[in-house]
Amino acid sequence: MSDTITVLTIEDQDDIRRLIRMTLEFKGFQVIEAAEATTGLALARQHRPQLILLDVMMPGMDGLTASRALASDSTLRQIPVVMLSALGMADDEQAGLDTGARAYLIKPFDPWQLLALVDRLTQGAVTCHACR
Amino acid sequence: MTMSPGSPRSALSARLPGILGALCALLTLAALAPWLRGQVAPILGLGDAGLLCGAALVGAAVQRAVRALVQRLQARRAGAWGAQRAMPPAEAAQQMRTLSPQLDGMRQQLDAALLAGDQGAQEVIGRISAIHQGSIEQFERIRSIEHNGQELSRVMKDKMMADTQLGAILSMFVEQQEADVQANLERIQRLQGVKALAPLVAVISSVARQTNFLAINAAIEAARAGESGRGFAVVAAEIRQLSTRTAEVAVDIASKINAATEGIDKELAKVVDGSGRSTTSGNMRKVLEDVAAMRQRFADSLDGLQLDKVIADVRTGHQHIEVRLSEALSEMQLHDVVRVRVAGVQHNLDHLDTLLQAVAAQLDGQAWAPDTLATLRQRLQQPPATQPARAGAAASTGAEATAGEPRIELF
Repeated sequence: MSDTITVLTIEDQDDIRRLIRMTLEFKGFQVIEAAEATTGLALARQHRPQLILLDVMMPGMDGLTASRALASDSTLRQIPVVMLSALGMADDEQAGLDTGARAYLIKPFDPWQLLALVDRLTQGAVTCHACR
Repeated sequence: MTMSPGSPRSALSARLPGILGALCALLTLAALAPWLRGQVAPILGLGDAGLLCGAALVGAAVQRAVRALVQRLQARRAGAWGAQRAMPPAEAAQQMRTLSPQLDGMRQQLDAALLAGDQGAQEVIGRISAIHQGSIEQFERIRSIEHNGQELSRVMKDKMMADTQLGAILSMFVEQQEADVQANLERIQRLQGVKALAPLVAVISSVARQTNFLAINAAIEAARAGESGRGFAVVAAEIRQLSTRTAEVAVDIASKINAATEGIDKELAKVVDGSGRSTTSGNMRKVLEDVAAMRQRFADSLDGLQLDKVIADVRTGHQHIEVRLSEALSEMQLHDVVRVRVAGVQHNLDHLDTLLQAVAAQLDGQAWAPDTLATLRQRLQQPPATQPARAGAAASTGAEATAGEPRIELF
């Protein structure tokens, strides 16, 4: 089931990107990565992943802008997006969800929670608000 | 002894001739009044009015005479004093001319004082400027440290977050490992069910043994039957062989089951021992706890640094220094005021020298020129010009003096 699921991680911090890969591959997900949003959008169009993990604060195009770009693209808007951010205020979370993201995960996140979230979002359209 | 024109003694001296004249006139009239009334008036046929007019004429004449006499005496006395105290005009003129070099020396001393003051002021200004520049450079270095500190703080926070994330993932792996160990333990425990096969082997061995006995009995009975039992004897021999083989296999199976169960017991003991606190996952948990505690101490230390507050305090201190330096530079302008005023004194010394030389020349007999003195007096009453002071300042600082600029501004 999860062997064929591809998750795209768009995250500028190498450490966090590597840890996300470790977590997802631990449960058999296939992972593709981008260190900045523009490359990430190109990878999304190329690979059509089942889920996108998107960091909010990145140099260049930030995660909120990238999420709006994904939502405005008719070929990508069905892909569930999970925002990752160290910004944990309610306003930050609401701003992320307002862009069309399905969930907002605050770093550092519980890897079990991430896996459960990825499992749910890749099996069906489940919106997870305030996953912490 | 001299008397000033406005003193009481001088006023009394001026009135003294008139007073003495009037007193003498009254005394004269008082002495002559009986004689005039008794002898002269009847002869001349004068009445009281004529007598009074005559007395007044005599009194006035006496008064004028006495006054003139006293004035003459005063003049003579004054002449005696003047002959004793007055300086000859030529000598006074010479004395006045000797003042000129002294006044020039005073101007030069004032010039030297101004120059020394200018140099001192410029040195102080230079030192203040150097301190100000040093303060600016120090603040720039602190700003650089602030920038680096903020970058360091950001990196440290990112790293701490990544470490926390790594700790969470390692914990997940440990939990997964512990779950796997538990599952293995359960599977091994289930394998212990193999021990239940051992009694079955005994049953098989017993059946083989009894079958062997039956085969032996069958062979005996076949031998008793003679020729007709020969075929049965063959079957009995085969059965006996099978029972023997079965017994051997049963022994082998029993041996292998014993070996298997012994191995399972050993593995189970290892797994049970491995799930204790000395296991790898247990050590990993302890390491993760230590790393988390270290991370917390690091975070506390980072908060304790209060780098932002230190930078803010340094910025406030720098601004305070700048204000004080600006105040000091402003107060240095007082020196410019002193320079202007000293220059005014020099200017007036010039005029005074000119005036003295003019008076000396007139004492030497030159034509009296009151207009010239009036002009000099007017010039002395004018405010001092700033231009000489600015020229002096420019000479000491190397800067150009600005003509026609009335304001005092050094900085």
